[in-house]
Amino acid sequence: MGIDRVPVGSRTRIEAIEDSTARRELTRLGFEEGADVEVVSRIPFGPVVLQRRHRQVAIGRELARRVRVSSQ
Amino acid sequence: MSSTHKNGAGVAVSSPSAVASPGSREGLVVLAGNPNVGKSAIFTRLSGTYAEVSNFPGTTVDAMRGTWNERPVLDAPGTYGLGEHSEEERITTGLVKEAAVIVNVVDAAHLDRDLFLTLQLAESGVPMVVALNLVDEARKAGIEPDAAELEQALGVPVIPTVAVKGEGLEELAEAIGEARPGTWHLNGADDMTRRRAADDLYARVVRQERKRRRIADWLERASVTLHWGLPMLALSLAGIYLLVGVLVAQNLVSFTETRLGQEMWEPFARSIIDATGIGGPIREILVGEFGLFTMTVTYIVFLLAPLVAAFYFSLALLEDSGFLPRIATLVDRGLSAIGLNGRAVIPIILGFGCVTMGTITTRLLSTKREKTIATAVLNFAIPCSAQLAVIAALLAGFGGAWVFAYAGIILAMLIAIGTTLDRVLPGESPPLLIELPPLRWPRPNAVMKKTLTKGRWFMQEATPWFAAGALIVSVLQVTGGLDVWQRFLRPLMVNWLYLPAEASRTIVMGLVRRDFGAAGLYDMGLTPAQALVALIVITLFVPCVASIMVMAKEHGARTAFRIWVGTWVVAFAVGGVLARILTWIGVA
Repeated sequence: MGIDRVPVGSRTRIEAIEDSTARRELTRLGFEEGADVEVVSRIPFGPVVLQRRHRQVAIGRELARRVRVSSQ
Repeated sequence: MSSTHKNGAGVAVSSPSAVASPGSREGLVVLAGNPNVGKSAIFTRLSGTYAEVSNFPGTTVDAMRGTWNERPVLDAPGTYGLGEHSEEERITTGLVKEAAVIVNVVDAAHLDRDLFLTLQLAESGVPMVVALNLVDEARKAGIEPDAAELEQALGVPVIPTVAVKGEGLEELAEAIGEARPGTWHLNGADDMTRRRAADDLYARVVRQERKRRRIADWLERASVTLHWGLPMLALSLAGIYLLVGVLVAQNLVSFTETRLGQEMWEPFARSIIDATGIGGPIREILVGEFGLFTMTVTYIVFLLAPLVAAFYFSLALLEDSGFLPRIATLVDRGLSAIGLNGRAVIPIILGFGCVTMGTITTRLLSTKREKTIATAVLNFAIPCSAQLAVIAALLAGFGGAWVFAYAGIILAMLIAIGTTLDRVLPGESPPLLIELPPLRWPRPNAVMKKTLTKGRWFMQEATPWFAAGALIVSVLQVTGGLDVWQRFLRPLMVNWLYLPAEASRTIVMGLVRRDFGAAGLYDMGLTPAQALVALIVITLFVPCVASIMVMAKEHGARTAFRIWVGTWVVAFAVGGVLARILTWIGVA
């Protein structure tokens, strides 16, 4: 499923980023495929904020749908 | 990693012999690093040239130049990696190829991210030094990296620094002389392999867990949720309005403009000119109604300067605290309705300071489509600080309802222009992807310096145009040209906009800069409804000459001309319709 459906406050592992530009940028920022991240916030119909170690990145909702995580 | 990403891997200069190639500029020192790690602070300290320091990514769009020990120093745009994928990457990659020495500035408190670029640089074969910046922050968080371990792994000098306090910079300057090519080698060159290697190296260099910081950690999470973030945003906007719109625009400016400007300076200027015996048209041009030494000076020094300073002060606080990218996150949903993403909030907020500056900053948007939409929105519907000042001063006298009506109409125009372009322009705008920097207390020195530098830049840019505008109007007045112009525009002003005929004078001024147009409305004795119509027309009217120049440079003369003509049509169409609506509902 997309990371947009992960509940706020829970941790998850990014399995695949189905957007080549975003994959490149997120890999550089340290939010690569395989990274364990926490979902910090989901703005209604808006961006999802991810955190790893102590760094945060905000991604638009559409993009968040294409950041796949394994559903547990 | 898919094959399309191989450009991100490695730089063309991969052998150490490339370093001494004749292509490299004599002794060139290049500062390279991720955005927002203190490169500009180190550059400022090394070269003595001021480069803007702030807490949001992408402050340096062009490379800054300076000299250190008679060697050229360049502050490259911040980038997360080398390659060909964005303007910043291309510029930085090009500079790295030309460099004799690279100073790789990294954020010690966020080293996991920064090591990706560091590894690319260490693979490039160019002699380098790592400035392990912000070690104080890292130490406070309990994650001070092991500089010796990093030095050994990379094979280059690693110097801990706190650039804004000047710590470690002497050692850094010494180490530049001992820079050497990295001994780091990567098996495989794709992004994913390098990212994994960076993560492994990070685990070796930083062995502790980060300490929790109760308030800051909470704020960093809360500020990007709707229920905490929106009130915080509203509070900061209210604070800015109180400072710029009330305290400065009303209280301070009424004192400086009336007392200091009109009652002390202008009579003084007139008495000087009269003492020299200059009379007739020359006197009119120098110290008349639109005189170079009267209106121009009063307006620039006693009205504009305090307002612009107050605005840039507020903006510096937003930037340096790290709040701006969080605002971008909060408003992303709203901006996507007009074909932009949250990132565009940065040029738009800057545009409220100076539309020209906002237009330049549209560069940080990634596609031409977004740049076009943002530029159009800025130049049609965003009033700059100078204009806002005059607008606030004029409308506040009539009461809050008129201010709201003005803001509502301008906002509606902004949405209309944005949605229209979003529909008309081909393609799709990319989604938001922005790093949120840590929240920090803005440092008073940095805020003051930034306020002064930007304020001075704005005043230098605005003053000649204002003087030119005043000169044109004075000459037209002396030669009778103003009457001709007024007669020509009279039907449009009187019959279409229901304004006094003299209001056409403001249009002449408005052709040069929109804010003087507004300034001219002050003493015209307009009714509230007339003032509203006039201000809407002036706001939507042609951008100032400097903005047009920038648009022509960034987007081509044709786009600039289209926007210029478009503003004439939109301004008068909206103004006329508004005048009729106001009459119809009985407030005019």
